[in-house]
Amino acid sequence: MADRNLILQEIGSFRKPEYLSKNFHQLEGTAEFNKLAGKATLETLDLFKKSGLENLGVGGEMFRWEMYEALANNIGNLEFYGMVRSFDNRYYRKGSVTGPVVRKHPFHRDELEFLLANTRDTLKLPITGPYTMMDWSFNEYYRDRRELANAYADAINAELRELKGIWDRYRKGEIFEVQIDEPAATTHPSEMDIVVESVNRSFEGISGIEPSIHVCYSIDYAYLYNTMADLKVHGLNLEFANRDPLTVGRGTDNRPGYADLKEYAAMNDTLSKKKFMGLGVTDVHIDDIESVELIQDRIETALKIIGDPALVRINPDCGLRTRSRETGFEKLRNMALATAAVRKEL
Amino acid sequence: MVRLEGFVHGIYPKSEKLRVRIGRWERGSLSSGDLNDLMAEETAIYEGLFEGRALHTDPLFNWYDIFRPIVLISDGMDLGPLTRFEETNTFYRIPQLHGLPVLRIPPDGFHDLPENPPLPLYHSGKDQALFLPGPETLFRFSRNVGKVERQSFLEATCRLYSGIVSKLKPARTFLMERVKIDKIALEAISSITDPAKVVLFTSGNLETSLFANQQKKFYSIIVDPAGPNLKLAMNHSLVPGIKLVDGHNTRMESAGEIMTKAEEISKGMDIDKMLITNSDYLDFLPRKIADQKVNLLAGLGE
Repeated sequence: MADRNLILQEIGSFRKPEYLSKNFHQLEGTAEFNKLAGKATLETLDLFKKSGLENLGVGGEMFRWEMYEALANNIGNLEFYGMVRSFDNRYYRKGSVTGPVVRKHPFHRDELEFLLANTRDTLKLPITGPYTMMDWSFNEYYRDRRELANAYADAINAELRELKGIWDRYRKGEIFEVQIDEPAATTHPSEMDIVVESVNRSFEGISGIEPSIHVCYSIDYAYLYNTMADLKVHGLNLEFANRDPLTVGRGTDNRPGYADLKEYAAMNDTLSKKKFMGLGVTDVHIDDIESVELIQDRIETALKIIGDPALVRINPDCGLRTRSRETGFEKLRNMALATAAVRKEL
Repeated sequence: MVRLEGFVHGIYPKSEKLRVRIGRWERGSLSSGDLNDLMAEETAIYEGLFEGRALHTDPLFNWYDIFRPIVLISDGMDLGPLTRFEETNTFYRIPQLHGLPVLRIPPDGFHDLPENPPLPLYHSGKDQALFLPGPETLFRFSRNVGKVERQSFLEATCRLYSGIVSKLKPARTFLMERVKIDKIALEAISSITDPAKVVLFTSGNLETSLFANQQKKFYSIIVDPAGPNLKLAMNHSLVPGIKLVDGHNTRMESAGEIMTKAEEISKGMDIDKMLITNSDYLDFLPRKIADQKVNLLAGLGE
């Protein structure tokens, strides 16, 4: 990687090409599926590189349909009774835990094997976190939410151990970057201790990894910042652009979406080992392509607060799967152009 | 032994068929009229689950959230952005208060609405209970952009509700208060219609002082499951109610379990009949499980 300042990274998902998405569920688990998902992964890695990204994640999660099901479908004693409404006429599958959580099959083995066999680029593996898995499941079996979150953590820990073994076969001695995805992390402020305990447990006993956490659309990131001393991750990858206006201008008066970075910076200053901030600079829920100037303003504003550019990474707010591949590319490219402009000024 | 009767309230999960059709309606390939006909059919199927065995509200198949149609048929409020609903993984369009709410569109009869399936507000017959979000809940779950004074808002909302109730003349009116209420809110609620026809869903622990000015008993006050709450519900309503069926978990309760809990909580109280309800509306569950919970609640009186 050329520059350790303002590393350009992906967060996770990207829109699948139609040849994969239209047959995904019919083919899943077959050799044909792996072939198509592999093809889509290579195309997406190529697209990411062309956009200027430096850390290519897992090539847009072409082997996964959705973050909850990617794990849930491979866990025993998780039953699906039907769809549950999220809002309006949008639904999701929410499983019911009816017995001990057991990892029946690996979650991401095929995906990682494929990537390591096919690219030497910098990667980061996203995996859905135990707290979110717990929060998005009905609990018919465990005594309480903590117990269920920890059961998921044990399953994730087993997965990560296996993935680390695969990683070492291809890239021994290189750090394995793992991003634990916890969109639900701050939805129950009184349970932040469960978030910390279960996330830490997911990584327990695994060396040679760089763990980070991704949280988005939080009611208040302060709940997360307050756990930074206890949360055993090296960095936070967060959504900010969604809460920021589209008009240009620097400073937190113009960039209110980034104002609470002050709380992060203050908390970081108290830590012996500082945590990096993966800064969401492009909104994944709108088709507007934020201009280079706007993204540059966002990065400059954040840098003014955080100070050290080595502590800042640049990413979209979240996975770009809800945008078209063309829009996703444009957003990533402007993100890279803005980052290059900021680097020049450093 | 206390007699139990089931009461099912709130937004009910839709069938697969209805979900698909609403999707088509959203994309413009199904007319509002056809969707409205299907809503009526699906409501009839829902009614059939009860076989006349338990009180219930309309399933609210055309309510995208518990506030939206009320906001859309009123002046003084509009829809804000999609917002997380309490600590759940569901979202609602936060109402924005600009002034005192006044009914603008009649609740009965067909009427297209923006960003929500069409009216009528209810498809069930008037022999069932009419669902309304509690006025305090509406106020607290809204963004008060117009700095509307709380008491005036509660009173105006209850006048609006009175208009709906007098137009539709339901057997019962069910008000869901998801937050703790005070005397001011209770007084406003009592003005909507004859309290003896009101089922009031409360949240949190009730205090005796809440009812200091309450002259007339409600039909039912539904409370969180605790003895002191039930005692107050018993004193101030004709048929006290208690939430014993979990609206947020697929685990199935049994009739025996409900009976035991009801008897434990009502121990030493002179209660002849008690309503047993879902703790929250069943739309947080898959339809299959909701149907099983309805069957359980409907069968409690047998």
